[in-house]
Amino acid sequence: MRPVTPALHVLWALVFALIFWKRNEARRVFAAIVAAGYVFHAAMPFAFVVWRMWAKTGGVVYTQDLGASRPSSTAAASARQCVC
Amino acid sequence: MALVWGLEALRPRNDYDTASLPQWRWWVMPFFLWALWWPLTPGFPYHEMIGAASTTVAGQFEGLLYSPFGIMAGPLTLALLCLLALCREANRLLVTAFSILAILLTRFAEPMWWVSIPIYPIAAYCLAFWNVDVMVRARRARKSRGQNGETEG
Repeated sequence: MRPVTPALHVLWALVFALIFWKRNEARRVFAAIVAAGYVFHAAMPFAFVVWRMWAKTGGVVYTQDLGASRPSSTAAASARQCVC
Repeated sequence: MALVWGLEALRPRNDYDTASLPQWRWWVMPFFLWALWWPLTPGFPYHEMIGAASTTVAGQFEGLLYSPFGIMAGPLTLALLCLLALCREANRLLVTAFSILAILLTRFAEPMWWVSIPIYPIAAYCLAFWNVDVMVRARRARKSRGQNGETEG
């Protein structure tokens, strides 16, 4: 389990706790956080691709096949990497 | 989705005062709790979803983007739909657009399609509940206006 994702998940749980606790007092903040979350979710893949290209680790291949075998870290450094 | 929630942030119309809700409206709560609980299921094969290269820094980014937690795309969208279903008053534009977009999102952004199964009934419920509710109120308002007009005439 990656440590960063549960951390994000806990943050979202706190955001939901905020709206259930403060209710209408926090509705503007809650909506803004949710909007920012979707912007983040939409923007990150592009930022990730740019970062990959900037790091010159090779081309980027998109695939939906999550079950496919993935290149090892050493192979990925020298060849194309998958972004699944 | 960001746009409709951004508009809601600028002009908030949702009423989250759930204290006066009838009990039957809370039926979505199991789905809400499931949406929050599911990503932390112990023993789930995260490494298979994220990939063997996930031990690298890049792999951590992959986990951030494409893990089954699906930061917004999967269970959290379901949690938001449940929250909209629990509103006392809801922004009809937000509910309608968000429900339709949530269904579309499952088709294009969620790699594990079965994660999205609960989104369909909840999105359909949100669409039906808030739109039918608005139509019933409009009909009542028309009727009351008509009755007032008759009494006045």
